[in-house]
Amino acid sequence: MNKISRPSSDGKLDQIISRLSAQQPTLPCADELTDRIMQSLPEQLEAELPAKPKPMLRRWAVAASIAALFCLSVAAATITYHVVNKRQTATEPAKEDLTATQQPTAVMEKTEEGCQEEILLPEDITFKNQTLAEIARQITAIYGCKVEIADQETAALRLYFNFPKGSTAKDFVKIIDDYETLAATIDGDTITIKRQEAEQ
Amino acid sequence: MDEKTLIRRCQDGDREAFRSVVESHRRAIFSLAFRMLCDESAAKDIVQETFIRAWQGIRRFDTSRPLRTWLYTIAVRLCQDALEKCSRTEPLPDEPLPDLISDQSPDRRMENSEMAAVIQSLTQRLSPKQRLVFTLACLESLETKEIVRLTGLTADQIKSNLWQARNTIKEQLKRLGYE
Repeated sequence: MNKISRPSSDGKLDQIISRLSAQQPTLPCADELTDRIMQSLPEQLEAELPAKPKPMLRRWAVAASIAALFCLSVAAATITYHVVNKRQTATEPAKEDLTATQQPTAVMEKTEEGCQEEILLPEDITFKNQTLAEIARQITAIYGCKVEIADQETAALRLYFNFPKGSTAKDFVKIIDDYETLAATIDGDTITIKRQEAEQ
Repeated sequence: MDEKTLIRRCQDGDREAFRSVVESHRRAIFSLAFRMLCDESAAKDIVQETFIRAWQGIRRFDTSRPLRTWLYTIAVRLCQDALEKCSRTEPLPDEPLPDLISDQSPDRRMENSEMAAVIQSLTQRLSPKQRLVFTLACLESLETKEIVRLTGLTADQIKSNLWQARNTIKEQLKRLGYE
């Protein structure tokens, strides 16, 4: 580091400064002063002791906050993942827990698009004691066809059957139609399910 | 015992360790305060107050920094406060300097009173800031970097104040008939 520059024409001043800086003033009665200082020191430095752990506590608090935030983030991410996953699996009946029961609220199920014959069931589905209304909703989701159930009583019927992988909408109609008490037909994009007795 | 160990012991409340700190630095602090205030008694008070404050704040002291700089910082602030108070009083009438300037034996030990008289006479027309910078730069021979750290002034401010201080002192010397 450079010392501060001084004008060159300051001969006298520099001479004085040189002499003043060369000699340190004498500290008279230095030990006496030291004793005076030591006696003046606050007795209880310990009073400041609690001040020292504070930064540590603060550090711990910050660390705990960060850890809590991290845990919350992980939990939120996990919940989000499961919710999204659940939504996705809702359109994939093979992975759905088919034991859930639901009361029918509508007589028929409808879809926007027509029944797609070329669609094959990707995996086996076992409908375990599910209402016909619930089964119809899943069939609609899989094949994109409209399922009409004649009446609420029929819609509330509970069925237990295996729907094998590779099945088409027509296969579904055949399975339903094989039930003695049910009659199922497919006409274009509409599957109609009725009670057999109703026809008789 | 090295300085860091000494400070750590002070931070643990060891008063004897702090006595060692006082004994090591008391002369330097006194020198600074005396050159700034030109008063032996006031300088001793500054020394005492500096070490009391240092003791009170020793636990906040960062042991990676030099202790001397920290003590100087405390002392400089105390001196500044004292100079601010002094600056409100009227300057003393111009009196001839002691024989110091014309002294042909530069090795002669100056008395404190002689030194104080010369510094006081030369610097009495300086502002507190100019006096501070002049003392630190010229009499204490501190580097600009260190003065920046002690005073909080920028390097440019220090140079400017020092230049003004030297001009004022040269005028004072002329007024006294030395130049």
